[in-house]
Amino acid sequence: MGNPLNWNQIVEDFGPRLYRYFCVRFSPEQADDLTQETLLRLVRKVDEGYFDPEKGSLHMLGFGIAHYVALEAKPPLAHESLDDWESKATSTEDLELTTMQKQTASKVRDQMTSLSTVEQQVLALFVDEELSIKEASIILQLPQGTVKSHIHRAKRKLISSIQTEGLL
Amino acid sequence: MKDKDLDILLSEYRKNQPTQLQVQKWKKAVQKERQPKPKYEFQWTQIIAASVVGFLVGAMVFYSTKNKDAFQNFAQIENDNATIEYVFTKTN
Repeated sequence: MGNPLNWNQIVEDFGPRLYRYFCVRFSPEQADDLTQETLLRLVRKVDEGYFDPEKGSLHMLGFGIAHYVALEAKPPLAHESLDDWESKATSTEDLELTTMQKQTASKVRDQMTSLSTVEQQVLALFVDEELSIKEASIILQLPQGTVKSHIHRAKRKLISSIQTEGLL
Repeated sequence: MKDKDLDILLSEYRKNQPTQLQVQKWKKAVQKERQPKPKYEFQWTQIIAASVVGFLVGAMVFYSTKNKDAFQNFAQIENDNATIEYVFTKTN
């Protein structure tokens, strides 16, 4: 106990990043619960002395925990329709998507479930713009080359499915 | 990581934002997790004291029993189907 970290600030900064990560594969309600679970485990790990700044950042440790929390969670439900998501949109920017963008986003969501689990895991990590390939490879415990291959394959699948629909 | 295609494909996911209420809920959960929990240490003195008291109470009960052979008599009854009344009558 007694670590000098400002946990309120960490929750404010890191919580939304975790939430976005979980939203890729889980419903918003599940993402909420899983984010909280990850934050609580992160607190425990830090208090138990598992966090070493020389080995990696706190966010990396957090995403590592999130990866296992996602694995332990119940299988993701089929994604909701875009209308459901729109009703949950909080910013006006969300509601101003053009019809084409909506269709593309909807298609990406549909296709995301057709990707392999590893590809979904990799893409979910890269929803967070701050993570590098090196960090993702450490979190997923995969070589960097493998992570790159998964990204490339996932991108190709998503783009080809969107292109066949003439949306991109 | 910067990737133009990924930026387009994942743009929708990147807009997901938790509500302020959710963030507050997480903060409260974290604060509660960080509160010091009461520690239950193994107390040798309590174990020894409890054993001594148990021994004394047992000895008192044993020596206050009039029929000290009651347990022996009970063991000698071979009838498996003996009722508690039957055993009680035989031993007293």
